[in-house]
This record gives sequence, structure tokens and C-alpha cells, in this order.
Amino acid sequence: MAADDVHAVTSLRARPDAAMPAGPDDAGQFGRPARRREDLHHLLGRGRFTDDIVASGEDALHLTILRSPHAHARIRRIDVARAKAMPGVIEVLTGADLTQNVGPLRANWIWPRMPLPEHRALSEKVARYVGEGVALVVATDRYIAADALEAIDIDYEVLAAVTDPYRAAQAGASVVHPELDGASIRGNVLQHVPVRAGNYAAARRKADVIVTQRLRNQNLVPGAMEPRSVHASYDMTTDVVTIHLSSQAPHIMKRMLAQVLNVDEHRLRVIAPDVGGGFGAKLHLYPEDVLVTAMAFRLKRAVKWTSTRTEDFLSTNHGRDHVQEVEICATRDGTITGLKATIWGNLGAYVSGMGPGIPAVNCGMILTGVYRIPNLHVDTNLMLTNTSRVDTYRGAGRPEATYLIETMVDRVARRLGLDPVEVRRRNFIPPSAFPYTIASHAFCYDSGDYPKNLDKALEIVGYASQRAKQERLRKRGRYLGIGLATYTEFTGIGNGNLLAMFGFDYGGWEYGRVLVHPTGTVEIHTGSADQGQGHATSYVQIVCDVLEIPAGQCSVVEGDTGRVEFGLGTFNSRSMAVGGAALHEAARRLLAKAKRMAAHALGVTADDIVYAKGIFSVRREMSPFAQGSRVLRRGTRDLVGKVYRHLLGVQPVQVGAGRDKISWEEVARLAHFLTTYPNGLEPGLDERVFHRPKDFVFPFGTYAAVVEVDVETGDVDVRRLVAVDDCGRIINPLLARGQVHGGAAQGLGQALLEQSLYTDDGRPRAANWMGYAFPRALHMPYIEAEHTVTPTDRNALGVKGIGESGSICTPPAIVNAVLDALSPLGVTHLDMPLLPEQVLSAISTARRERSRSVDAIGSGAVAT
Amino acid sequence: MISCEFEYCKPDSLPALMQILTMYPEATLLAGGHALLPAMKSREIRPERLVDLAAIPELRGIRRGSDAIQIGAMVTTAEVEHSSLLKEALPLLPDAAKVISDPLIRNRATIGGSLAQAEPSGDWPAIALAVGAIIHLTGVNGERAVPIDDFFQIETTPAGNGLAVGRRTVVARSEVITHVSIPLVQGEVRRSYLKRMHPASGFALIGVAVALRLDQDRRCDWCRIAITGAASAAFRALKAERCLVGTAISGEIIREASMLAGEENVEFIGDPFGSSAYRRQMLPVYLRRALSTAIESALV
Repeated sequence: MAADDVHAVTSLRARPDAAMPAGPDDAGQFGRPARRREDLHHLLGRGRFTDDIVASGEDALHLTILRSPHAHARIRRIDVARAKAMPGVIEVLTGADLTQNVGPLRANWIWPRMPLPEHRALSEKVARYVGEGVALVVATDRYIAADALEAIDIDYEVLAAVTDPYRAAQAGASVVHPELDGASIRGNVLQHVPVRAGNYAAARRKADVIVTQRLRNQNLVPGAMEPRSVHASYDMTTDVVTIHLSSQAPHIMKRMLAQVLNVDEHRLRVIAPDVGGGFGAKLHLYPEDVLVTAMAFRLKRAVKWTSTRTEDFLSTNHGRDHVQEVEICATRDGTITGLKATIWGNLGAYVSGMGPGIPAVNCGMILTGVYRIPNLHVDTNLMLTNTSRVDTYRGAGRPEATYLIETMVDRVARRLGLDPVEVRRRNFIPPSAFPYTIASHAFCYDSGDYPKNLDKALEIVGYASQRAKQERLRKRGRYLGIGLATYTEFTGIGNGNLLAMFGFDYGGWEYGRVLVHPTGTVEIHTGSADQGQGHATSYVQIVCDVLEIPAGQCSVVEGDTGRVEFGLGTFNSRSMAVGGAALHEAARRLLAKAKRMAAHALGVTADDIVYAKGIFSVRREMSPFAQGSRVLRRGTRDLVGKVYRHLLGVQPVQVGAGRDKISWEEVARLAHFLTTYPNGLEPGLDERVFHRPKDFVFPFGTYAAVVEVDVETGDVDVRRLVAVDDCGRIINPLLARGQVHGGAAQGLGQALLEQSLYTDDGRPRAANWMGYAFPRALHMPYIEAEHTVTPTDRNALGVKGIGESGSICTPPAIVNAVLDALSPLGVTHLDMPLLPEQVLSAISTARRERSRSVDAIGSGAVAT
Repeated sequence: MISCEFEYCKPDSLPALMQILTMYPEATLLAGGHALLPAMKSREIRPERLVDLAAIPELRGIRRGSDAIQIGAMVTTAEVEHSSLLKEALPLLPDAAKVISDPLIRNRATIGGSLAQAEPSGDWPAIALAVGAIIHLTGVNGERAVPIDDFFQIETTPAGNGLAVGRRTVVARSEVITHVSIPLVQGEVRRSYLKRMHPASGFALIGVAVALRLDQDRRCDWCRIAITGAASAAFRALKAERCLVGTAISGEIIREASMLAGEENVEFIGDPFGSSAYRRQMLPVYLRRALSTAIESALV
């Protein structure tokens, strides 16, 4: 049997792609597996990341930051004189030097009436996490700057620290922001957000089973391969500072920097060049962004900072870090009737861009997942602690929500002795119920067919035969587990009005522009910002699908506020659903205008133009009236032409007269150089769209994991990982699968390997890749990624986001599989990551308890 | 991640290196750099002078002699992995090289560097112990050969320059490992290396290297077992070895020997990926599995 398993896996690994990806020239159609146009320059080492940027004519000065080694400490004294005197040192500043010109950092998702702890780019009096900046050095090179940091004399008074969100809420915990405590908040609870629906107490009274569990979504490091980096250069001619920034949202950064530094926005240009991974952590404003830009203005020089790997661990936002106490009520047949949860979500020492919304909305308001659960009692506590800020990380709240509900559904099934498949089916929102407003009232799901999707996953994984195999292996002392998780999530922000009510200040649109050069090449501008997703490839497919021109004729401009005037950025798996929809609309408008141009040239009305594959032609079956009108127009034009020629000796541009066809390139040229234009039309082919979606779109899916647990070592071997996602219509199956693979890797990392641990005094136990276990290629199983397709009517493309599903649904699938494997041994709970030692210790604890209870029953029997 | 200033030189022969070490006995030797450079970048250590060993031909190459194999100190793990000579003569080494971290690291990490660094969880120390390697050293005062059993030393006082070299091994200041020789044992020798890779560092969370010879009656008449990742230095599981030598190999004897390994008087190390208790618990499991693999392959 074991040998068979190995062969099965080997053959899967070696399986060639069902359809070979098309080459770049075949690209340009919606739904085709076009290969990424971005790859070549990366494969050839021609990528250009922020640290590669060289400002014209000068070497950048290097900025480095003195960071607090303490999680919580008062700065008693700071003396920079020695550092300032070092050769090559240009500037040494502390928090006190900056208060006048540099405002505090703002967050973008500030809950109504929520106080905001003041977050300065350099802390002046108190450091509140290990890695918080307390002074900066600008020097002629990185080495001098690093040496100068060591010459700064600083005295700290170390204070008590708290890094765990649950412990931070307990009486007696040290307080992170005493200036707010008692005035606007209590202790470390920045905000309490309740959600109530139905009558939970009644549901609880009537329940046949009540299952409770405390869950933990550990603190995670996003860990992009490219650490954060900022390069700002000053142009004395224009008085503009150009900021290269490894960012997911250059336009938002421009706005935020203008506010914090109090400069006119037109004096800032933000460019996100190649970005080596973001995962939500490069979405928000950081102190270093502010400091580098401020120094470029102050010194009128180019200034740069590139994070070291350790700095990236310490100062870049982390993700997750929730403690959840959950209670779930069900009837005997497996119908879930109520859900109660108390969530303590860590925000860190300060509030980052979207920090508060992650636990409160992205998790706390979508806890019911794919199920009809009418009675809710949810309390989310937004906690301040002495860690770096915690904010969006791939999934951002939905992994925490999905883990909660999906592991609890399995617990209900185990308690009732039901198949977890059946419990899911029983509680699914049925396909007929969409659009469906969930109990929290925060979201209205657009479309879904959960049973169909679940069935597909069960079929691929071979659920019945896996169960049979599990039974056989158990008899031989081997522990196979099958774990399922079904999810939905919201993507494509999305309904700016609604968001604004929750204090979200981004708005919900995306900007797209399609323009045609006089030679017929097409330029696509988008306000989103790629971090490796392959946006350009997909956007070209969307636009070329409308314009029916070769992909090679299109280019994409993205991530530069100087070339793309507006934008919100890339997050919430929104680029295709919102950015793509904007471009689709722009392309359609552009084609409509091109048709009018072509019609004008050919002497017909736009209705009589047929467009296909770069050729505008006159409809064969024109009405007699249209034919007559064409003859008339042609005659008029000929007459006008003759008059011009006769009187002035010049020839008006008359490309299409007398012809039945005109090419895309000719229309492009005419659009710019016609003598006369059709009524009401301006020259040019250039359409700009601010696309504002009606609402979010809700992808969903089923992940199935098959694991074998080695009960002697605690090792979890992931044998199968089946991901069946439904993201609506698929623009590029190859890239969609890539997104699933990447997300699944990060999900597997959370399930099995990763956690940011802190010492009692608040120091991270690992601040490099030697001590923090990101999943590597060797940790990954073959991922069987498939799709069902349930379109949405909330955008014209029928697409939903796919960027985060893998990290949302993989952890509960794997944890459920491991608990399923170990259920005969009596193991009922494990916290992520499922490190072998923890698995082993849970097994021995369960065995001990079981033998104790057997003893108790035995002795009881004797007594009676 | 920004090192302090240092001098750098790159001698092109062993005599040239000795000249440098005569002039600068405190100089720090740079082999593959995987331990040294990260420590320099984080400023944990601040050597004033680096001597790069990369251009010294005497430290390179894998050769087969009549009764031993010689491996130059600057031979990379990747070279070991792909050496056809070793695949034929001592396949344990290429097999072990395959499970050392990842290909990028294997391309730079050297066998001499790993032995000199003597990381508690390094792979080569255990493998060198299991194959009974002889470490050849050259210093300003001459040459010497140290059996691997005498090579590692567990000392707690750090050396003046903060480097592990000289702290965990007998390599003296101004001394360099030139090569390692591995005696070829006659007879039916079976070897295996079983490692649990640390998911973050790629080192051994626990690694067990075994080499044993079976006579015609399946009796073990020679055996070396070495453990890494468990204690502050690689060590031999002498109790287990004694248990195996002279006995006919069976499932029971393997189990018994494995249990004995867990009773070795060493202080186990731990981290969040495996506490000392867990590593102690895993040692018999890994030894049993490593021995079973070696024996099974002997029977095939």
C-alpha cells in the first residue's frame, strides 16, 4: 500500500500540464493560459527593484535607523554628537528633531470614534516594540551609516512589555499606551466591536450539542523575498521628489506622504518598480518611507534605505495573531444554529493602515463562512501590544475566520459522529439563496454553488476510497487523515460608501486607461500595482479580448504616479475584479469610438461597421437607406475634395472613401490626423475609467488534504492537497493556478511551520530565515489545483479574486486532516503550527488521558 | 547586515597562506563563508583581516589512494554530491551531501569549513565521525594529522576573536585544515545517514550517521555511530556501538542499541523546532531507522 502511494505521488509530480501554455504571441484572449510577459526580464536578471535604482547624476546618501532593542522602554537620554562628528556622516536626527516638520503616520481604516495612538516616524520618548526607530543617520555610504549608529549614545529605562493579544487584555498587563488608558480606551483594548444577530442565547438553550474551543492564529511574518526599500531623489529644476518604493499602493503612498510631510501632492511622484512580493505587508505607510522622503526634501539630495533581512523581520508588519474563544451550537442532525466568538486581535504597538479592519470586519463579520448560521454573538477586541504592527497578510482576516468556522464544523461532526462532508452540506447556503445577506449583515454574497464545488473536490481526492484506505491503514497502526475545508471570502474592494461607514478611507474604485498611439500600438494604464502576480499579462488578455489585436501590440504601465494619474493599488485580490473591469470598460468605450472613426472614414454609420481581428469593415447586409446615405456622403466628400483641390491646391485626408475595409492602424492614425471628425468626437483614442464596483465579489472553494502522521516522530506528511477554487470566470488559468500555489505554500507554512515567537520581555525569538521557517520547495506537496466556474454579475468580466484563497483555506484543511488522522488516539485539538514535537506531545497526552479514563472505568466496574 | 571594515586577502598557495598567518596570526580564514559572513554582517563578529582560501590549489580536489580517500578542505558539498569517485568508493558522502540544506548552499559550503566551524547541528562532523576521518592540519609550526575522535572539543570560553574556530575544535590559531582523509575499510561495510532537516536553517535537527561491517554470519565486527544536532557537538554513540559489535544483527539488537543511544551522557540542545527532550526522544527512533536502512541495504 505504501509503495502504491509513493507511485501515485510520483506520477502526479511528473504529470505534464494538461494544456501547454501558449506563447506570448498567442496570448491576448480571455481564458487562455498565456505565459507571463513579465518573466523574461526576471529570468535574465534584468528586473529593476527599488534597491537597483540609481538617481541620475549622483549616488544616493544612505539612511540607517537606530532601532530599539527593547520591546518597551523609556528613552532617558540620547546623544548623537559622536555620530555626527564621524567623517562621511551628513545628518543624525532623533524624534525630537522631526516633530515640527514631520507629522504622525496616519492609518487608513480608523473605526468610527476609535482613538489613534500617535505614531511618529521616530519615537521621541518611549519605544514600544523591538525595532522601533529612535534615531536616524544619513551618511555617504551604508557602512559609514551603520558605524555611526553604533556611535549614538542612548540610555533606556526598560519597561514591562506584553506581546500576546489575549494576555494584553488581562488585568495587570502592562499598558502600551498609558496616555490613552482611562481617557479614551481601557487598558490595551483599543476598540471593542460587537456583532449580534438573531438570538444566540435561545439557540444555545435549544442546542443538542455545544462545542467550545480556544483557537490561535499565530503571529506570522509575511517575509517577501525583496525586503522593503525606499529611494527618494530631489529634482532641483522641478522641485519634485521622486520616490521609488517597494509598494503595493504607490498612489495611496503619495497621498499619505503629502499629508504627513505637509507638502503639495504635485511635488511627489511615487514609483513602485519591480516589487519582489508584498502579501499585504507592503501596502501601508512605514516610518522609513516618511523619513527617506523627508531627508530628500531637507538635504535636496537622493537618499535611500534598504532594509536588512533582520530589520525586515523587526519593522515590517506581521500578520494574523488572533486568539479566539469559540462556542458553536448544533442540533443532533448537524444543523449549526449559533456561533459565539470572542476575538482578541493584535494590532501591534501602533495602528497600521488597515490594522483595525482585519480582525473587526475581515474576520469578525464573516465568521459564518459558507453556512447559514442565524444566531451570532461575536465580540472583537482590537489589542495594542509591544510587537511590530500587525496588519494585512495574504488573506487578512479571512484565514482567521475560515480557520475558526472550518475547524469548529469538524468538531461538531466529530462530536455527533457525523461525516464532516454531511455537516457541511447540511449547513451550506444553497445555490438558490444567492444573492445572500449573511447574518452579520456586513456582506451580501453575490453567487455560489458550494455543493457542486465540494463534490468536485471529493471526486478528485477520491473521498470514499481515502476513507476506506484510512480504515485499512489504521488496523496496521498507521494514521491517515482526510481533512476538508470550505471557504468563501470577499474580494475586490469594493463599494466605497459602505466601507467609508466603517472608517475605511481608500474609496472603492480603480482607475484604468486605454490609449492608442497614432501608429496603432496600445498602452494600458492601471492604478493597481503588481508585486509579481503577472498583472500585465492578464490585463493585456482582457484588453486584447475586446480590441482583438495581438498581445504584442500592447504595453502596460503600472506603479508610477507620474504616468498613471490615479489609483488605489493592489490588495484584497481586487486587481482583476476592479482594475480589470475598469480596463475592460475603457477598452469597450475605446472600440466604440474607433468604430465611429472607421465609419466616418468609410462613409457609413457606426452601426454598419463590423469589427474583427483588427479590421473594420462595412456590414454586407446594409439597409438600402444606409447604402443610399453612403453614396450621398461619398459624393459630398468627393465634391468637397474637388473644391479644396481646385481652390487651394490641397488634398484633405480621405483614407477610406470608396473602400469597404480599414485596418486598426489606419483608424489609429486617422483618429489623430483626420481633417474632420464625426459629430461630437474629439481626436484621439484615449479612454479613462474610474470603475466603482457595485459590491464585493465572493470567491469560494473546497480544499482537501490527505496526510499521514508518523506517531513515532509526530511528523505530518502531506500526501495530497486538492484545491478546488471558484473565482468565477478565469482570465488566465496558468496565473490563477500560480496564485493558488503561492497561497497554498503560505497556508502550509502557517499550518505546519511558521510562528513568530516572543521572549517574556518581548523580543522576537527569530529575526532571520535561520530561525523562522518559511516553507521551501522541499516542504511542498504537489498541489492539485482545479476550478469550478460560477460567474458573478457584479462586474462585466464575471471574475472574482483568486490571490488569497490558498492561504485562507489550506490551514484548516491540513489541521482538520491531522486531527482526523489522530482522532482514534483521542487527540482533539492542536494549535498551529503543527510542529512534530507538539503533535507527538498531544498524542502522548491523549494516550495518557485515555488510559487513565480506562483505568477509572475499570476501577469503577470493580467497585460496583 | 552591514559588516564592519576589514582587510581582505586571497593567497594563491599554501606557502603564501602560511606567510600571511605568520605575519597575522589573528587573521580569520574564509572558506565557503556561510557561517562567517552572516555573523560578520550582523556584527556579531568583527574580524580585522579575512584570508580567503578560495584560490589555494592545495586545498582542493578529491583523490583516491590505496587505502584512503583524500578530500581537500575547500571541496564544496556540491562537489562531494556529484563526485563519481565518491559515488563509487564511499557513497555515504554523496548521499549525505544531498540532504545538506539546499543546492545554493551546497555550491558554496565546504567540507573543511563545516568541520572547522563544528556547528552543533552541522552534517559533516557526524559523517566524519562515522567514517573515522583523519583531519590534516598545516600551521606555521608544521603539519599534523588529528583523528576525528580527537578533533572536536567542547569548550565554553570563547576565543578572543569571537569565532567558533579554535573554540569547538583543536584547530589552533594560524592553522588550516588542508584535507581530510578517510580510511577505506575492507569488507562488507554498510553506511547510512538519516537526518531530520531543521525546517528553517537546513541543519540537522537530528542526524544519525552509521557505518558498520558485517561478517559472513551477519555478525557486526566493526561499527561507528555518530550523532549531530543533539548536543553542543557531534558525538559517537559508544554505548550503541558496543552493543552492536560482536552480535548477530537482528531487529531486537537494533532496538536495544538504539535505546542505549538515548542514554548517552550528553546535554541535549533545543530550540522552538525541537526541544532538548524531543531530540532525546527522537535519537533512538532515528538510530533505529538509520541502522535498519543500513542493514536492509546490506541484505539486498
